[in-house]
Amino acid sequence: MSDAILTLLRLGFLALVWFFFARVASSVWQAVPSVAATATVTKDRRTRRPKKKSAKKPSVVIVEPLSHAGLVFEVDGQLTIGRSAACDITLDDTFVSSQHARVAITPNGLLVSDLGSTNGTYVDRQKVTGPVSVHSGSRVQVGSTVMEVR
Amino acid sequence: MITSSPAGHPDSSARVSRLRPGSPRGVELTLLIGAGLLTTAAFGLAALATRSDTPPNVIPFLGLVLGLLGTAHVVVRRLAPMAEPTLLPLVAFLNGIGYVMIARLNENFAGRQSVWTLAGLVAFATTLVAFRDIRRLEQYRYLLALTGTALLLLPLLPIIGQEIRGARIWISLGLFTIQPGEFAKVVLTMFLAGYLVDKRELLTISTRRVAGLHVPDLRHFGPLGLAVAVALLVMVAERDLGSSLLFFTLFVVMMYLATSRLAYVLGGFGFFMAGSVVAYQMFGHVQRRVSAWLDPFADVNDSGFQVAEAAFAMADGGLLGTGLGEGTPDVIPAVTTDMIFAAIGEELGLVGAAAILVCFMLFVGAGFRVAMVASDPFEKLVAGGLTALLGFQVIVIVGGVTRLLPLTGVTLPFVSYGGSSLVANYVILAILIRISDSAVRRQPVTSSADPTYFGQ
Repeated sequence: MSDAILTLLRLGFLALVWFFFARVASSVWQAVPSVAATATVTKDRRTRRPKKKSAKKPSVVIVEPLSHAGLVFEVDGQLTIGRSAACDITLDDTFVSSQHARVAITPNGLLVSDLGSTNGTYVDRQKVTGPVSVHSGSRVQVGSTVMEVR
Repeated sequence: MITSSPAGHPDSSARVSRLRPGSPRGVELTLLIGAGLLTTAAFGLAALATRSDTPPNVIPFLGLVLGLLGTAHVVVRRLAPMAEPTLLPLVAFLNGIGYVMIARLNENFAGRQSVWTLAGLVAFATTLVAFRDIRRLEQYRYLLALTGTALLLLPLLPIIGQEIRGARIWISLGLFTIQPGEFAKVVLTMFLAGYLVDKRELLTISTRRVAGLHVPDLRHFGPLGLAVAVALLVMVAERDLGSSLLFFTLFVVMMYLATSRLAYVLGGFGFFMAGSVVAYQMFGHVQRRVSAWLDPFADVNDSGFQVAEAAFAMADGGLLGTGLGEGTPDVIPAVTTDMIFAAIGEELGLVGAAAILVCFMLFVGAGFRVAMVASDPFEKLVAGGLTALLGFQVIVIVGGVTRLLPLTGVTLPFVSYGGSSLVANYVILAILIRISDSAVRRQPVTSSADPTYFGQ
């Protein structure tokens, strides 16, 4: 085997190695369309949002922690918050009781009540004792999670 | 942390496209065949260069490699069909290139490495069969801590424990020796993940502040600190400084992943600096390693020899390398284990050595993607921790070989010769594949009207 051919084979091998990585990277990129799809879905939701607003269904938006900021939970009659999996919003937080608080639509408007939690529920930094009326912009805190009513 | 998702969360509809049956596995199969062909090409090139007169036995080698990779692929297709498709091919490439390098350097080691590769694949399949759900391990966290510590202590036992080149990290099992510490690292990572998932909030919210930094409550941090301190002491007693460095880094990274408190990183860095100074004062071999790092040519025939030879080898390689089988990396001490990156640098050049680093980069990227997709906090931490462990191991050894860091004896994952490391890394691969499969499967296929709880 002549040296020239061997050198060519060697360089060809190195080129193929990088071609392999390009294939790996492109297959990763193929999996990314799920992100792209997410983006379009979010856009769709955004354009649809005015319709929802016209229906005037109140909702609760996570403000803190930042990792979950922006998650929207619609209040459909009532919304329970707690550590239990049976709640509508399940918070994996040591400072949250299993059935912690409830947001409910009543004839008297939207009411937040504490369900006898250990560490309490706060509306606009005030500890909740009985049912408290909330409106768009009110902030509800349960454990380390802060939610805004919309 | 919030583990539920609201109705019609954008993610859920996006998952549907990924649930098309077989599509990730098709990608994996294509890439695996590519990795197998590359390994065979490397094997053929090395054979051509070393004995140009005899026709190399390339065809049976190709059959064997493709057979092994095909079996691994079928195992994943059967047991984890939705798993991340790039992890296995990347490992196949690393293991293949490593094997070719070892075979070219020492034929005796090559036979044993092929047996260990087989054992690694068996461990890979066994892990996938045995653990259908990684979350189950969470409840055994204290048992995991005990197992990990026991594995670490094994080499200190009288008869089976063995000391080789100053480090007492081997146990002898008749025909072969193993390093239980390699497996201890995996088990202890799972313990850390389990403990941190349980106590994360309590470690995040602190009652006291010292010098502007939050200090965790000793009641919650104490047991964890104790477990880590014991593990580190055992590693230092065995003179396994590379592993103790890795394990400490892993601990700090996992604390940060679980709590997002920078205080733990800063505190860890402080402890690391103090520990380094103490280790430097206490151990002669640490002082030798540091002086060989700062100036390998001061004592080039003795303590600086290994690092200097590695530098010469990589300089010889230049941009494109001398070609497989055409360099002289066999003069470097421990070239098949710690120093294999220098051999790759010599024979495949900067382009080939960078390829190895890119391969690890893609692997770490895939591992962190798995951690991001996982919805269960325990699985998130296990995937993130194991990926960080592997990534830092690459940094520590490649940094050591290229004189960015003092050299500490750890293996280059999947590439270096060494059975325990190979088998343990295949177990890590299996866990990552298992977690990525579970994560995709648990996503709801249709967007339900009710908020769904993903945690259980």
